[in-house]
Amino acid sequence: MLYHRLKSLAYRTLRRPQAGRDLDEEIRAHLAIDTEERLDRGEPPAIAAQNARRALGNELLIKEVTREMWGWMAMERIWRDLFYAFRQLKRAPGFAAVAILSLTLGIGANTAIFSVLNATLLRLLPVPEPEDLFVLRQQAHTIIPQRFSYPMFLRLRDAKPGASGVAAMSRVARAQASLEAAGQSEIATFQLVSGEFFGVLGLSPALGRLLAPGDNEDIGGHPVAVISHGYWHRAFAGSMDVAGRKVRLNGTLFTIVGVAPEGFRGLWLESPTDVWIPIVMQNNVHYSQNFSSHQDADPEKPWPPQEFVEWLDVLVRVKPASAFAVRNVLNTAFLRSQDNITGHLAAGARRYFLERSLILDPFRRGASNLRQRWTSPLFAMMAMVGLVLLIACANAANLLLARSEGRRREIAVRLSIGASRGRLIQQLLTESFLLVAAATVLGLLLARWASDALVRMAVGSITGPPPFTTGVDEHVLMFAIAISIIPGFLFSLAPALRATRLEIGTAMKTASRSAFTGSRFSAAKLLVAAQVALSLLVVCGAGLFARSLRNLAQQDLGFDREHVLTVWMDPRSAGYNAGQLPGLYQRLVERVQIVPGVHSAAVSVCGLVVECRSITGDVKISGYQPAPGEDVRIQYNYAGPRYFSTVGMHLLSGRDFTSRDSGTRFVIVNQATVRRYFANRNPLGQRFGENLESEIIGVVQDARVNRVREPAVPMAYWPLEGNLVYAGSLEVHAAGNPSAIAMDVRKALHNVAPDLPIERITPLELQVDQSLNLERMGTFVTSAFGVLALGLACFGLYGVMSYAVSRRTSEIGVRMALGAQPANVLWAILKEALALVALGLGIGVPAAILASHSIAALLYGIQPNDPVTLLSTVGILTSVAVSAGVWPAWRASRVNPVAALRHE
Amino acid sequence: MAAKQAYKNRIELLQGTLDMLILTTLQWGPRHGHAIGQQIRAGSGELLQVETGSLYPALHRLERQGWLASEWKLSEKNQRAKYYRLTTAGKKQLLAEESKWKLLVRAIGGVLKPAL
Repeated sequence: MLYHRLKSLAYRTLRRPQAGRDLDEEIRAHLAIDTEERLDRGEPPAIAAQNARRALGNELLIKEVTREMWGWMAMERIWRDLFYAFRQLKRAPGFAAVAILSLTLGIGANTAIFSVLNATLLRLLPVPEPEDLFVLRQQAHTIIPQRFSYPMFLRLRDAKPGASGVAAMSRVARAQASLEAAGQSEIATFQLVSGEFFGVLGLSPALGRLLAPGDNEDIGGHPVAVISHGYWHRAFAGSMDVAGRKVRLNGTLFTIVGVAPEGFRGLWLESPTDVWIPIVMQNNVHYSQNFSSHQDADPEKPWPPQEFVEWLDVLVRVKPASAFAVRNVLNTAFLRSQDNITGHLAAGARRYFLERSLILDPFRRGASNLRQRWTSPLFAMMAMVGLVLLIACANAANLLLARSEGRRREIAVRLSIGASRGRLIQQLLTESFLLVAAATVLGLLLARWASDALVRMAVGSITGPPPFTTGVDEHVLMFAIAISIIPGFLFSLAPALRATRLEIGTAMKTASRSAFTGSRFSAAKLLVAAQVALSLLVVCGAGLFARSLRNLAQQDLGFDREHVLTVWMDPRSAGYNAGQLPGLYQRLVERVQIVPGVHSAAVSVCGLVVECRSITGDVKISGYQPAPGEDVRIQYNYAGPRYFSTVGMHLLSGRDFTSRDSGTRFVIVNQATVRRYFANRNPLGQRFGENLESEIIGVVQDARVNRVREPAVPMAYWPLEGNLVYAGSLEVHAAGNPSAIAMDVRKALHNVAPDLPIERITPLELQVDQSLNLERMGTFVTSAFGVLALGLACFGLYGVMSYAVSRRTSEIGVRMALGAQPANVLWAILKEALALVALGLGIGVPAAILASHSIAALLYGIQPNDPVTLLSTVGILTSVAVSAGVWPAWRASRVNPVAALRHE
Repeated sequence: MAAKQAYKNRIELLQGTLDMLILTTLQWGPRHGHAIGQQIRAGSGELLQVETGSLYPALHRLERQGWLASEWKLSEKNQRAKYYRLTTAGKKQLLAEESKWKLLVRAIGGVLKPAL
């Protein structure tokens, strides 16, 4: 519509001088011909021209009418309307401000949530033809899908599958990075990639060159790196001579060969990558995460040559049309290789490798760990914020209705002096359009700021930059325009139609005050009841989320969160080798334990509530007969001496590890394991393990070690001693407040191992809190929506009641003159408000009961139709609504009968 | 309400009729605006006076609708003027208008006859 108008404007503007001259000339010719004919008829020359002109009539009017025929007047009219609308709004600043404000909040909140949704779920990777990118996954019936070994990647790459490219990559890891010149080290993220990586993505460098297959040949022999555009600016201030400079990652010096293009932040949404280095450098940077290793593997040695360390993701670029054929070639090659390399294994173990198949998963949006967890909360928030928008629109519509009511006389006058109804509607719509446009612009600004704040809140980095920016791209812009123009138009059309549909005579004859037909009032009442119903939905949802969050925060976790300080450390990236580890652990624990205020300390591989899941499959348990096809799986951790007492997990039976226990001879399991695998049997003394190698010596209470939401899974703990594993976590039990001793602990650790990277030292309570960031953000946002919805509904109710009172001033005056008491009047008005609220609640409560089931999966420890929440929501709404109705009612009860009657 | 309706009818009747008259005039060859006006006046025995203020907007509208085409030519008196002529679509439109008009006349005549 707008586009066509603009096009027409451009066309007319360009043609206008030509067409205008044409018309002028035509009129001149007409005059000349007429004059000549008059002369022929014998009129005197002096008056012939004058007569001709008189016969022609109003020359300007003719031209204008004719021009209007051409259509470009329409555009000028729109400008005039806009200007006129602007002046009208300037004359009613209160109305304009309130309408714009409520629409801005509605549009802004919607756009903000959509921006986050867009950035996490919709946005494509900034590479050419992202639809052609796939990632290779393994499917199996019993096991968790695995990654690929480097030799397997090479075979898949060389199988010539008909894809335009195949590349391998590790996950994004963190490293201690320092620049050659400055000794100060900071955390940088890096990813190990094969030489094909940038080619498969189709990227070209911003500076220098990107990695090529030649950079990834000899193990440990290619210390070259490509840095991201962001890191280039952060660490090198965008210096043009960055190629050739050096960066040290976890102790190994890399030469920078180039800079990745601007806007490419890596393939993991929430972990922007700073540095890309060749896969062959894995051992040099001590990369050791997200891997599975088996029988013959030695994770201490470099991984690239090893068949049984599976640690890489494989990227494939292929046209979607031929993806299936490519998958088949890859699958065949994969299974043949698996068969070859596992020839020496026992049949049972081989099954694990052979019962797999490959699939190609679309990778056009890149990878993200957040996506799965965020999807349903985001959609729930989107739905709730949509309700808020409806409430805001209803508010704006109500304001427009009230306003057009106030303009009845003006409109009637204009209709009676010949303005067409269409023209008036056009003008009224222009006014609403101006309001909506202003609100859209402001809403976009609000959303830009709010969406990044939401992401920060959800990932818990309040101070730092958000891990990914949401930004306003074309999707967000289209969304904002769609949600503002369409409802804006609909909600302003009805008032405009109503305002211009009136009997001119009656409207002009009667005073505007009492020219009340009743229909506008019932429309407004319905809108207010709808607002009450909608805000009930939003407030109820917010209440359910808030109570879920409280339940989560108060959930008994099975460990002592109040007294424990947890230290994230990384001996692996500092380059400690297996032989040095036992000594390191002992020194750390002994030194920390003498810090004043420390009760005890213990190391373990996995920290608490950090989703560090090590799971082993195919476990045998004495006396347990697995069901056919059942894979006995168990999550495990390695714990140092006094671990359980340090973190406050109670040993229920048996004994704890002593310093003499080592290796896998003894194991401690949790209650879930006992429940699952030892129904009613005494687990102590039973055997357990891949080859029944461990004896169960103790049972420890269940603890929610993964997530607060996740009930305890079967777990096994082996002693750290005698198992060559890197401990990532040091737990410190403080006698008092754990944050008070954090600095002393850090100093103590630095004392014993100055080169040991300490990522952070956090009280366990805070860590638990941070694991609930998404829920907290959701609760905060929905509560804000709830308050907003309440406020808007309240405002709507107040407006309608005020109007009702002003309309009935004279009637009230009569009643009071006849002896009605102020209290009666107050109650009469208040009753009207309560009737509206009751109507809204009557619709809202059943709707809330129905709608709340859709968010059941997001709740915790509470039923979706929880009566307490519902009742308190109804209570809140009623009391807020009553307070909105009280003021107009009170004003009504103060009406002076004499003044009211004289008013008429 | 009723008054407004009547007003609208009058406008439409006039407009449609003027369009038909213009088209009829032009079926005997191209004319300029002044000549069209004169011819309608003469043809109606001075009964119909076409306002210039209606004539030119109508000509431009008909041209936009594709029923007329125009070009600048010299008149017999050596005066440059814009000549309008019927297009094929215009001829079809004229036929349609004519038959519609005859129908209308017959219908109204039929209604009026008993009263005469």
